[in-house]
Amino acid sequence: MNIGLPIVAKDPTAQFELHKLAQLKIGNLDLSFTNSALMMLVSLACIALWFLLSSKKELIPGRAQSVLELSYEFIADMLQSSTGKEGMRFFPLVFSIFAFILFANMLGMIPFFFTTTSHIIVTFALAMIVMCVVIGFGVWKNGFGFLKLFWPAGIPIAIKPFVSLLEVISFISRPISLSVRLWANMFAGHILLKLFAGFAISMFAAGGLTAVGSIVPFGLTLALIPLEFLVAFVQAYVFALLTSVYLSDALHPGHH
Amino acid sequence: MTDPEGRAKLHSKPTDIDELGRKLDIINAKRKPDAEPVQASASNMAEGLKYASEFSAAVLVGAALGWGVDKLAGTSPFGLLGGLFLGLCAGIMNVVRAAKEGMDGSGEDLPPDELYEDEDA
Repeated sequence: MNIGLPIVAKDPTAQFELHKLAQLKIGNLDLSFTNSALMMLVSLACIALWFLLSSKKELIPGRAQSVLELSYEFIADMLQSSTGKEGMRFFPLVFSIFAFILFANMLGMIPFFFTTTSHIIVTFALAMIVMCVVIGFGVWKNGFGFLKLFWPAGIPIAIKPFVSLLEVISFISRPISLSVRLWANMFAGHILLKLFAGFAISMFAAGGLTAVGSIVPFGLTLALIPLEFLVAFVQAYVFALLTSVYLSDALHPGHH
Repeated sequence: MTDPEGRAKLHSKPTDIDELGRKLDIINAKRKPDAEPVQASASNMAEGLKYASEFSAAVLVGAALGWGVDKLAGTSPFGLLGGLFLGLCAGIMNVVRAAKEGMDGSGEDLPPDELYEDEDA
């Protein structure tokens, strides 16, 4: 079991490779258990552990409970400010998405850990969950009134059909931009980290004056790591925020 | 042995509480400029990716819709062309909307606190 450090260090995309940990095939469907699935389970386990640790409901909260209360208020405030009081029925969805993305991103920052959210299909699935809820709830609550979303008010009737066509395209593009944003941030950040770290290693290995110069990529790597932690948090927050903005469209269409 | 002694000394000196206050002031002064440059540069990349994804997603969707119309109606190049044009328009609309909404649309540039509300006004 040689990991082959030089190869890993030089190939910045090797970290995104999927490995099958257990084969599972149903018909033509390949449902193998991969490292990505393992990391998803690990993040779920971490969230469950976090909740368990803070389930004592003490009056004076411990560390885990305090963090959980803070994040509850953080997400609840965000949801209420963008959807109003009735948006709180979506709190479980928004908080789950936030917690899952946050833990997946943060766990991805640990060396040799796979980053689930660096695969666009994962982020796209998350975005599609959000859009399905938006469309499903919007149609269930407003009926055909949901279509007001595509029929903006306060626009001359002559260009209204054109603008509503644009609104439709814009609406369809939402899950794509939502998923691409999270994916691109994680993907680009991890490649950047790996590249600079790889430079540092190969420059140091070259010896001589180059080895002295390797301090530059090493310093950049050091500077990038806290930045990546910040991005990991900010992107989870942005995803949850956009989720609640889209949910407010489902609650009150035609409020553009 | 030293612990009760130290505590006794601490109480006996009248200036100790002032000393502690001064120390706390120094620590507070040190803590204030905290991680602001990092946040700025992090949101720069996130900001760029935000507009890029908003724009390109709309163009992709428009082109895909146009291509689909072509496939269904057999109007070979024109559906794709029209779809691309519509996608461009929708992309620009997305970008303008994202820039206008700013904080409620994306939020990476500001924390959601009421602390910053006065900046908007």
